[in-house]
Amino acid sequence: MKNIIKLGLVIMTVTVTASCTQTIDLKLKDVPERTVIQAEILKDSFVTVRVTKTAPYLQNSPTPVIASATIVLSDDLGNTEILNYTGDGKYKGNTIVGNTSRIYTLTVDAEGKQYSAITTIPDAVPFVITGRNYVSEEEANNFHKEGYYPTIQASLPSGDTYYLFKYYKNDTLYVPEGAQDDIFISDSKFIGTEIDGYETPYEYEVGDVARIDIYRITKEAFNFYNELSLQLNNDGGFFSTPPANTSTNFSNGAVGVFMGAGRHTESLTIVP
Amino acid sequence: MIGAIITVKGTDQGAVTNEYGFFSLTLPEGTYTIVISYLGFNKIEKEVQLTENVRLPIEMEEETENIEVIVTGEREDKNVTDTKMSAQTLTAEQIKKLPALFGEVDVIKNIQTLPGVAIAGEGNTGLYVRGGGSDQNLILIDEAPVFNASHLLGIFSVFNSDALKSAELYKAGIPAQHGGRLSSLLDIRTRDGNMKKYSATGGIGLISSRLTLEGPIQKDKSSFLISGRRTYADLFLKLSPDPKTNNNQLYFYDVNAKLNFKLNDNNRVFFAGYFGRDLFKFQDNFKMGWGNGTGTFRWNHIFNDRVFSNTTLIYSSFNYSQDINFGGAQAFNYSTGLSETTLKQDFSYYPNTSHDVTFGIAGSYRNYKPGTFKPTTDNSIFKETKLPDYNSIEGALYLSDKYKINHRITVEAGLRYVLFATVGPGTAYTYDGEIKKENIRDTVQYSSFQNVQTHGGLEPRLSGRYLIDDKSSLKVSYNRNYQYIHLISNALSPLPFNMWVPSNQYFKPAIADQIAAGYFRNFKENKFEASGEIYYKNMTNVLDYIDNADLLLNPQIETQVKSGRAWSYGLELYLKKNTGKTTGWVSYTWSKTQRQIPGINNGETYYASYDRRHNFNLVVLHEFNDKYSLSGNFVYGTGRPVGLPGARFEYDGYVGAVYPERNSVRLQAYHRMDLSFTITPRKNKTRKWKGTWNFSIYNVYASKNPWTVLTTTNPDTKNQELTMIYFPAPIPSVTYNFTF
Repeated sequence: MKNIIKLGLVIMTVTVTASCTQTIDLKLKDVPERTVIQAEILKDSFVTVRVTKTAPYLQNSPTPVIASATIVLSDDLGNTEILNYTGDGKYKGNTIVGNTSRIYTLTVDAEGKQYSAITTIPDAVPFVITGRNYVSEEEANNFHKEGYYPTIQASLPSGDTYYLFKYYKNDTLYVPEGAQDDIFISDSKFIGTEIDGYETPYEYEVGDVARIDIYRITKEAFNFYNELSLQLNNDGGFFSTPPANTSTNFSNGAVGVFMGAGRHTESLTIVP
Repeated sequence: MIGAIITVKGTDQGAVTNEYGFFSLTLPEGTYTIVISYLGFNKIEKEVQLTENVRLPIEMEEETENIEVIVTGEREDKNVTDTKMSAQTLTAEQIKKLPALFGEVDVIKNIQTLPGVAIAGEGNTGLYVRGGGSDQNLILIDEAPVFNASHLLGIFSVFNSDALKSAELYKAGIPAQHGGRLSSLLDIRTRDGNMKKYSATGGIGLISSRLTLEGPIQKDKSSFLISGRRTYADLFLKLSPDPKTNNNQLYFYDVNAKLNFKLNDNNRVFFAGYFGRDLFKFQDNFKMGWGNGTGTFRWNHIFNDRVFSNTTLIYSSFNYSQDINFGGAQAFNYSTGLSETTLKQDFSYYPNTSHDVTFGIAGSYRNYKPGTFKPTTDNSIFKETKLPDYNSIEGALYLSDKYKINHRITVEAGLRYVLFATVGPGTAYTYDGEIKKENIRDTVQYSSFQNVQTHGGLEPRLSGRYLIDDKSSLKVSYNRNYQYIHLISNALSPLPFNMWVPSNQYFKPAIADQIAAGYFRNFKENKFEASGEIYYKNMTNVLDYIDNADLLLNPQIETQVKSGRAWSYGLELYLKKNTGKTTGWVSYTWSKTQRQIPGINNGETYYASYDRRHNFNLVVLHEFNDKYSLSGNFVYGTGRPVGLPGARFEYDGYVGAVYPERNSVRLQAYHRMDLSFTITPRKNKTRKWKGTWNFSIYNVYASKNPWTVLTTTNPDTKNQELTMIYFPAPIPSVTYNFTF
């Protein structure tokens, strides 16, 4: 939402000044290394976790993975499991299945420090793809390109709810050129409960299989993704809030979030 | 005429006309010769026999032969003799001779070259005065406050130079008559309009054109002035055959108007108005518009030779509106606004030649609309969200006396008292413990004009001047200023959708205490004036925002804000050459501005985002002859501090960042040189139509100054990079100015 409002300003400024860009070199301030935990438990699924470390901002080395962590998932009924390492810093559960009535605790022991976080799992919100809008070459512009835009219809639950959207084209995550920093999230703050005609942000072509995943996520996960999005799309604090660190539900200074989510998926094959 | 000098031959008695062109002199009975002088006008000598009180209306004629002389309206040794310190005046004539971006002469850009004002850089008409933020300046146009003084998001200011008479900046020693902002007063006056003859002035530039018409309504009794300006970048877009392009809009315009009536010798009134608008439309997807409107009515009344009165009614408003529409479903309008109505009664009282007393009373009402968000199509997914308005009332009383103790010492002591109340209708929240959304205990509704919270305080304003000799003086001042309205914004740029909120139960009024001392000296018969000043300013209850603050349409805005202390100190050096073929000034400022706010940056001290250690400005104007003149300026400033990350992390396919303390990295230094060349054809002298050509180049040597710095991912290497955005340079422009 906020980004939409600010987007107008950025477009305007660029239009006004036809600004130039150049890569520059500045001595950045070092920060101590931190452990990064990306943890996700979906309804009806096993938990997945990836543990990595931060790296200096401008250094081109890959961020190091932690393969030696001990990760334990437990729920409020006393069920417990230790996750298996599957490579590339990733760990997976194989016993406890995500349930919307349970409260989950994840404990990560990595390189001598222990981090823990708690989450619930919000229930998925069903939706349908009602069709697609077509933007013709005449109507198209840089922000609304020529092509087909599937539309969504859904009834949202009342109260404060939070969503993360992922778009796929032919079963691959759809990241158009220049869109690697786009994160699609929404809270229910400005949105009515009946949604009809909501378009995908990207265009599809005839023959594409458009797949839309809507995750209903926890407030903590929403905050994290929102702040990550602010970091990725910041303008150095000129128009927007100056970029800042992401918040977390992990203890002891880990970066990341333990996200609980209910996911609903729909697909549409684009026909003329 | 403001600042005409009156001397009495054979005595050391004298006076300077006040802002209404009046002066008052008390002399023993006798016969005197009074000399009235004003630069650019013929000197008048008048013999007066004083046996009783006399009133002496004097009309001055413009000098015929030396008509090109700049009318500065200033006493030549004012720099040394005035009690005013930390103040600078620019006249419209000075402003117009300096180089300008896109040829668009801009008073705010000129103010930014003065000592004590930090360099803001391109695309920013914000004023950062002695460690103050851009929201701490009281900017008045004919007494009416301007809430957002920028066009095109800060690239230009709202002040059309053709309509301006003068601009005076006070960095300290703000007269007790004014208050409400912590750091400065920028008092902009528009021209009155010619009471004798009709004339038109204007200019045709690359991006905008201006036209000003003025003249008598009834000769010598009343006048009008109307001045307009419009940019027309979008008119070129209209020429495009492509409907995608010619449907776009991008322009601003403003209109200044003034009516002046001399009812009789004792009564004058004027009406002044400003209206300006920015409009930006990108196809059917985006539309934004914003602007200020102000109106001033003033009645100036002379009770007797010693008492003058001004009754002023002021209205000012600012509003912003934005429409977005993507495919009908994602369609909404967002709007914010603010309006203020003030009634003031000011008196000037001159009991004798030793005292200038001013006193008065003012009352104002403000209405703040923090934001309304509504769907604009039937199938929009959005729902209407309206934040409740804030309302406030304010009463102010002040008294000030400028006391000439003796030939050497003059002191000015003023006291201002303001009582400020946030009133209903409105909604407020109460919290259990820390002010966080999770801790909301209750919602309280206030009815119309029900008191929500009252604040108030005394604001002493003291300044003194000690004349060492007729060439040099020492000045000291102490000031306290309160600020009862707070701009909710943590962006550096003066964004049009920023909202103001009044001091209430959560936002305490911000208070600034400033001490300053200076040495002032003129050289070579006032040809050069120099000053050195030091200051220390302490500000309490200054707001800053929590990490990732959510300031947009947030009904509990107090949960996003913390308050604490800010302080600034510095040294300012200024040398100005007033007369001769070469004029100009050089200013240097060393300053440091820091903040410490519990709950921000772990409670550690950090630099303000506009903090620059060194600021240097050189402005030179040279007249080769009456046909050619050249002006140039050079600007240098230490890079400003910004927040840039120290580490990165990988998450869900994205690259996130870890930030160290606030504003931990300094950008490269800012520097730039501009040049301007003016040709005044000689045939002007004999013609009614007088034209001048102005050619200017902004950023002559194409210095790449970062407008902002972004963290980006290189699309090819996928590595993280720092990318600076800068203005293309050099920017040449040509303007044809005319008068007839």
